[in-house]
Amino acid sequence: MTTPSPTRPCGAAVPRSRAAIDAAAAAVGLPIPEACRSGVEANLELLESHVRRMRAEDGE
Amino acid sequence: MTLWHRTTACDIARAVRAREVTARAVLEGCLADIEARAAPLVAVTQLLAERARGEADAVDARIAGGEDPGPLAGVPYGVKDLFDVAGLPTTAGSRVYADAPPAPRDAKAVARLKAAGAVLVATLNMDEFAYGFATINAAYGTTRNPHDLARLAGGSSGGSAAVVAAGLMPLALGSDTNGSVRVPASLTGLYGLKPTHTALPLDGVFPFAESFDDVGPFTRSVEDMERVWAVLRAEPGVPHTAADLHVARLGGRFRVNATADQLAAMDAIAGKGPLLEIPEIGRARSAAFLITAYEGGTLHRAALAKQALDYDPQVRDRLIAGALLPKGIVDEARAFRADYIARVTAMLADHDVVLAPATPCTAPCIEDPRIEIDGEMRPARADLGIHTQAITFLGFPSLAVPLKRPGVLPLGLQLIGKPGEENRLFALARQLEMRGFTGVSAPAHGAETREEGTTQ
Repeated sequence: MTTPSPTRPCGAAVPRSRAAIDAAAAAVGLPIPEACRSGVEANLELLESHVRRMRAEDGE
Repeated sequence: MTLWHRTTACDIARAVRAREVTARAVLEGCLADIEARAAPLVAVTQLLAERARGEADAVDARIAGGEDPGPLAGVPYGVKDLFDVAGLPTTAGSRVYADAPPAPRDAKAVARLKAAGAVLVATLNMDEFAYGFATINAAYGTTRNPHDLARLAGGSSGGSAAVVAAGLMPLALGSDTNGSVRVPASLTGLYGLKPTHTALPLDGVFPFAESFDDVGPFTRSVEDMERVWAVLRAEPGVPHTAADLHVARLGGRFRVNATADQLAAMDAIAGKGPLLEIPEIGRARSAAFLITAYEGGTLHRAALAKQALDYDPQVRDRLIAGALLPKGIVDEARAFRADYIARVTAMLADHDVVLAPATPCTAPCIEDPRIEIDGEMRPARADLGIHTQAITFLGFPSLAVPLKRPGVLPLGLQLIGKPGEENRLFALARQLEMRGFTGVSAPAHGAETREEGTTQ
């Protein structure tokens, strides 16, 4: 088991900018209340770190 | 006077079946103890005394009528707040569903326990929608660890773990998606099972992430776990297996984030068994994290669009973020998973049971709920499952067992097996219990155990 598992990156990215987040939210019909925005942004940052790790882009 | 509800499920059932005590008397002792001792734990969300008395009386009536009352006759138990209980709304620990229509029938797991003579006493606290490893709940409070009330019980099935660890009842049901049974079992010193994915009935259980959701029991003995497993599987018993099991240990990140006691126990238990390194375990955990976030977010998307502000803020923001993940990323994670399972299955083919820590540390303090992972301080709510989530990803069964260490905070190991081979996990757990490696220790004076050895 020395060969890394393939991930076949699809090119999709976690929405991070305000515009990208709003577009993703509109696409799934989920308006984001202002009170949630900072928490959602922080969680999207965390998810992006997991995408990097899953794709072995973080050096693991 | 015997406090029957503080003994094991098998002892209670034996005594009730032998007419040494009635199911009603066991129940009344349990209810009185809950009344006297449960409040500081913040574990019970609803006491079901009327229903419980009806079930207990029905068990006694069956015995009086010469009928078989079942293998769990008169055993009081509780369920995490996401199991359907006939006549009650299933809240999943959230205000969002507090006014939901009552469940028309019991969840299948609850129905099977009832048919076996068990008596449902209470619903129990959890992280809202099972999204967390801490049982920090904005609506129902933070569940406390019976071994030290200043510490977390773990989650998301923390209420279920706390009542069993406190000796209020011998059995409770939780659910385990990424570690929500195994983490609180480790932090409160119990046996807790994550079965092979979908091996136990999920009908009537509020979902979280369908790729990983499972029903899991908490008990204070291996014998109880086997008894409950057979009842929930609707099988007559657990098939025996060879005593000579091939045991290995997991290395790498599992050993980097483990305590000295866990390392010593795993080395002693495995003997000459090899140290295995599952590669890319961090990638696996991240893929599990992403699939969970997406499935949880997608499940709640419609409700979030209508009433996001009724959710626990921390859970809400995690769910919204998950709902915004592109499906392509999740498809990528699922493809990685399929390949990964095949490779790890081949790697573990020669071993019956593999050992790993259940949690990287003892219960964190409620005032500062952070833990050290890879040398960094991380939030317990998200990261207590570092060792369980990677196993979830494989779909393998895993039994959390408590290291025998009276007087200090509890800590557990995982016994990990191959799909469908829970009986081998039980066999090893029995051996470890007999050899004194594992076993449940009662909280000192109810709830006063301190860190590493100073019981006050």
